[in-house]
Amino acid sequence: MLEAILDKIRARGITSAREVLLPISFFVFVIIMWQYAVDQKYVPTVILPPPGDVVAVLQANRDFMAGHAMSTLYECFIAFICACTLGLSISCVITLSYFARRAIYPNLVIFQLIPAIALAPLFILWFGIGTEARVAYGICLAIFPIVVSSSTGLLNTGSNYLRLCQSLTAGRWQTFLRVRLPFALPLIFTGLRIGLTLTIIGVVVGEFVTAQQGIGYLISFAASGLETAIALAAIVFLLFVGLILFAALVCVEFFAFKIFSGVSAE
Amino acid sequence: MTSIVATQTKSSSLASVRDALLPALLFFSILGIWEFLTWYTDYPKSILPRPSAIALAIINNWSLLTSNILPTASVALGGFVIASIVGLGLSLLMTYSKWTKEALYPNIVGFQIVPKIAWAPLFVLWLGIEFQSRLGFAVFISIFPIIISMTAGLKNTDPTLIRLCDSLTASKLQTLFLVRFPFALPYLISAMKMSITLAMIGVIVGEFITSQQGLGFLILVAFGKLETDLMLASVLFLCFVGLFFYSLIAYASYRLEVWFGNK
Repeated sequence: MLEAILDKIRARGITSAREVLLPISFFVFVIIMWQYAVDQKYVPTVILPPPGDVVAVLQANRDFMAGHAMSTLYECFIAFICACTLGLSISCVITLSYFARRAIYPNLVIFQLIPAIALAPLFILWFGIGTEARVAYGICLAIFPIVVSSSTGLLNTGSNYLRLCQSLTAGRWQTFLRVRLPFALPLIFTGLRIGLTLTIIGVVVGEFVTAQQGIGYLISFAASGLETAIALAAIVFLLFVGLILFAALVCVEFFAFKIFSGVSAE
Repeated sequence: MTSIVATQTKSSSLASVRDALLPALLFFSILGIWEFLTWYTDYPKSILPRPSAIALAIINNWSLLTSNILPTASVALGGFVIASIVGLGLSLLMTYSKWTKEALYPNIVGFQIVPKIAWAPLFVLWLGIEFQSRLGFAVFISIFPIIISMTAGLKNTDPTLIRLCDSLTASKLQTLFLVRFPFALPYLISAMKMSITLAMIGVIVGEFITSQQGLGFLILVAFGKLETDLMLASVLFLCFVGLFFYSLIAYASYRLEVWFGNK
């Protein structure tokens, strides 16, 4: 009996070691192939600089790039906070007012069909080439998934629970806070995650079109100057910007679930 | 009894008419307010043109707009088709070979974290300013949802069904086409809808960065000349292209579901 369990653990240990090692070794293999291909001059360094060059650029221009990354991070953060506030309040209105729901919701779904990415130059026309344009554009991209997915969540609470609330004479707001919101949390956070991705896309595309700072500006500037190593290093920094924002969102999600699971348990 | 049923159908049809009218009313009243305010305040046309001016711009630039549809639409569709085929192939590979899956899948998921839009200028650098760079970028950006959802779909097939197939000595190919694929179809359909949108985004961003044709290019040219009405007209055309693709995929997925007997 004990022997069998030990065998199982041993087998599990080997599989999980393989599960960790295999992807890492594949990653390392790709990097080595990359280095090899450049060393053997299969691809010119302008097209693909060796990984060592990218690391060298990262080390040499750390402060300079961190400054650009901070600018992008700041704009993404502001845009995402605004998009959350606006988007969640719109979906609250949609949930609480039958009339608003009937009038607004179908229009929102149609509006989502507009390729919002094509509106980037328009925002620069409206808000100038400063931070405002990119923040407004990020909000515009992010708000639709947030509204659509959180109102889907808020509206589709199980009808039994709603009927129970009615029979217990709970008010509209009480029902909203105690039942609808905790139920909708998973969908709300799905919407927020999509919204965050789109915010980053919006800010970076805004920086592509016109900017004097930010990671997107750095990438397009480096690419047009054939400085591929700088462009790749800038993408690494953008990865960190994305990771920081996502980590923050995951923290918020964790605490939101904790707080609201408490409410529903009361 | 019949009268009750009749009133019920009448009231439900009344409700459905109202459901259709209310959003349309809001839409047209916003258009009307927009038209009236820009006319009344004589708002600069280069900042926000009137809806009627946009309609006029569409009529005046009809041939310019229609001739730029094809470069954008064909690259987006081509990118989507390539991404679908390659993505499907990769997810099949990952379903049937455990090693490939364990080596590739975490890397693919990890790679997803990098905002993929940032690679656009590099594709221009790698593949030139012709359509190849936009096609490559469209494939790159739209392949991830296909791989990830399709792998999830093929993996989550009901294991009892697979075991049944095994005990009935079905071949691997039979199991794939008769059980796994129909089961994964809803995943594939939602992934395809996401993927075509992303392919459009990829082509438009590619055209923003460098291009000599296409609706994204037209938007940038109109932006340079401050012809905002032409800009919004191009955006409207992009909407139609997107809507066309979306309905194409909705139709194709309906046919697929019928074919695989899901409906």
